[in-house]
Amino acid sequence: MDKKQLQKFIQWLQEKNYIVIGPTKEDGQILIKTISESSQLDFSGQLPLYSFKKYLVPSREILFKYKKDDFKADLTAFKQALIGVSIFDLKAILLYNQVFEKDPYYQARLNNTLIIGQSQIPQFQNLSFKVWEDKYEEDILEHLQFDIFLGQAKEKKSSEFKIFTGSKKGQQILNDFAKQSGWKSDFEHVEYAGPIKEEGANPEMMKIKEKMPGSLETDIWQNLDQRCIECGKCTIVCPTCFCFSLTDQPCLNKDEGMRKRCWDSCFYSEFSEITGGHKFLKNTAERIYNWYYHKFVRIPDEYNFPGCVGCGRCSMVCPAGIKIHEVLESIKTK
Amino acid sequence: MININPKPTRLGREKPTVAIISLTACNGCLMEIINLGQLLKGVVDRLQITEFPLVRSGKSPTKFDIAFIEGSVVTKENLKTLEQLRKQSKFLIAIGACACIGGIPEIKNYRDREKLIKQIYKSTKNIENPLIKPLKEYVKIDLEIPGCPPNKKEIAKIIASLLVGKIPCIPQRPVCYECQIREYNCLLQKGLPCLGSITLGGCQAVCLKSGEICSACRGFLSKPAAKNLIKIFKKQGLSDQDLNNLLEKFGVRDEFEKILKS
Ligand code: SF4
Ligand code: SF4
Ligand code: SF4
Ligand code: SF4
Ligand code: SF4
Repeated sequence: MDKKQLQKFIQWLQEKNYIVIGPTKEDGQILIKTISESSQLDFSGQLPLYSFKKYLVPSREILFKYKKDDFKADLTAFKQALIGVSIFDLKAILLYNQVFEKDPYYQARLNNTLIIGQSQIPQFQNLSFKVWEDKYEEDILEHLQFDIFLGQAKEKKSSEFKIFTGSKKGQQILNDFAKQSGWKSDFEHVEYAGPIKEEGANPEMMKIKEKMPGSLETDIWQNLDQRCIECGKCTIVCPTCFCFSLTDQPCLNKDEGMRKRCWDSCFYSEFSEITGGHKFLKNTAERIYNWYYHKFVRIPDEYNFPGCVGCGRCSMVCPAGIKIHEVLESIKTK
Repeated sequence: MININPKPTRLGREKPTVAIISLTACNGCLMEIINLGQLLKGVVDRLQITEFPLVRSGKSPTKFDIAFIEGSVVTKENLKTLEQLRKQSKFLIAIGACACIGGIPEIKNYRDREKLIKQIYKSTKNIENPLIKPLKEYVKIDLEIPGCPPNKKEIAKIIASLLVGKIPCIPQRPVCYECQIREYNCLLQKGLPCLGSITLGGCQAVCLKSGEICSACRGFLSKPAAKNLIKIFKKQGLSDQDLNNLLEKFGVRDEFEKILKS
């Protein structure tokens, strides 16, 4: 598929009532936004600082409203097409799919979402952000969940995309598009083979996982305790962070109110606070340790893959200059 | 810092009586309440507003279920009003930066007050010129709604909570949270001295929206990582003088210094 056909395809999706969402350039920043025209999409391969996660779990959402005894949960979701999802963000969606497996709001949204991935190795200004030694070859696709995937040819200037499908829905849509537009249908189907590679769990991950427990007393965390400002920016940009808080908010109208869900961060003081005021995470060292512990021990324990996809966003946004690959290095060599 | 003193909030009435009172202030906070606009209709329907100097004057009843008070104590008269209102009210809410953290008037605490007063008034004979303090230093305050001006949506939410007997609370999340879920550019990373990471959020990061740094008009989080923030500021070359000017803008320099010492 070439760029022109891709633009046609996007237009066609819009005609089919899909809200099309993808990376677009704004004031020199790549942001993920709803686009009205396919020409707004940015395929430069630069990693958007803020990931796609807000379209699957919005930063703020109303779970239900009540009016006296009448109770309404709104599970309607718009049809949306997420386009240009990087491999990092696709991996993060794998985790979300597990974590929110039983969440009806998430599932409603996911069912109405067409995920269109795109393979590009984001061009970090600083390659040392690299967390995992991953090769972005095509075989990685069988361990990702997506509907359609745009494989960009390796030669830089080429505007040809090699098309893959990863779901029945993706196949169906491409077939429909071919029928209605005259596009010479040409795609390869990849069968999803689960999140973990045949070789088993990532050995790097296992190494970190072994070294983490009991390291709280080491100066790794004491050093970070003296640097981190607890702004929580890293959790907001991290495509895998999924913590939220629930708030019941009465309205000014009598007997009306709602329950809201909004993103939260383990860096904030109330995150681990329980009735009576006890906090499980008492200081900065414990909070930042928890952040790593969750991503590199608890999530691997639960799902057998790391809670970090290696996108480097947390390092890019940290005002204190904390770099995840450096921290992991010191954990590994402790 | 936000003080919430749990106390019975079943206000016990269908229509609680409410007072909204100003001390020495610009009235900007009261304007925010008036500006609740559409929401105000809901407020008026369910409250009995008996004291609201900007809207009407009348004789005051002896007891209020909820009282909002804005502004600073500048005169003896102000102090009397505040103490009187405390006695009359079940739930006393300080509203706005002046009432909660000292605010703009506190700037004079960091200057030569006596010299300043002479520059401003022809005759200084009857002008009282005290240090400016947050209201909680004079009387017990049950809830603080900070901000210069306070956020009207937040005011509405707090009133709605009080009406069902829930103790309202403002989540202890920094301004960075709201700034970043809105995907604004981080000014701290660009080398500007933004106080957002140690400031109590709830303002929807309005300053960052217009490309201005946060100068902490909502006061600080309960346990901010100020010691680490200052390291970043120093590294970026912020002078002590510039930092002090920034912190004095809303009168939080004393608070900040206390945190650094703790
Ligand atoms: S590199 Fe950082 S932001 Fe990216 S997934 Fe890992 S922890 Fe999250
Ligand atoms: S606990 Fe912290 S690191 Fe883990 S998902 Fe939640 S916010 Fe992210
Ligand atoms: S972005 Fe950096 S300073 Fe902010 S909470 Fe994360 S690690 Fe701490
Ligand atoms: S601009 Fe200020 S408020 Fe926004 S993230 Fe940066 S430090 Fe926080
Ligand atoms: S961003 Fe900071 S200074 Fe601006 S309104 Fe919010 S708390 Fe006040």
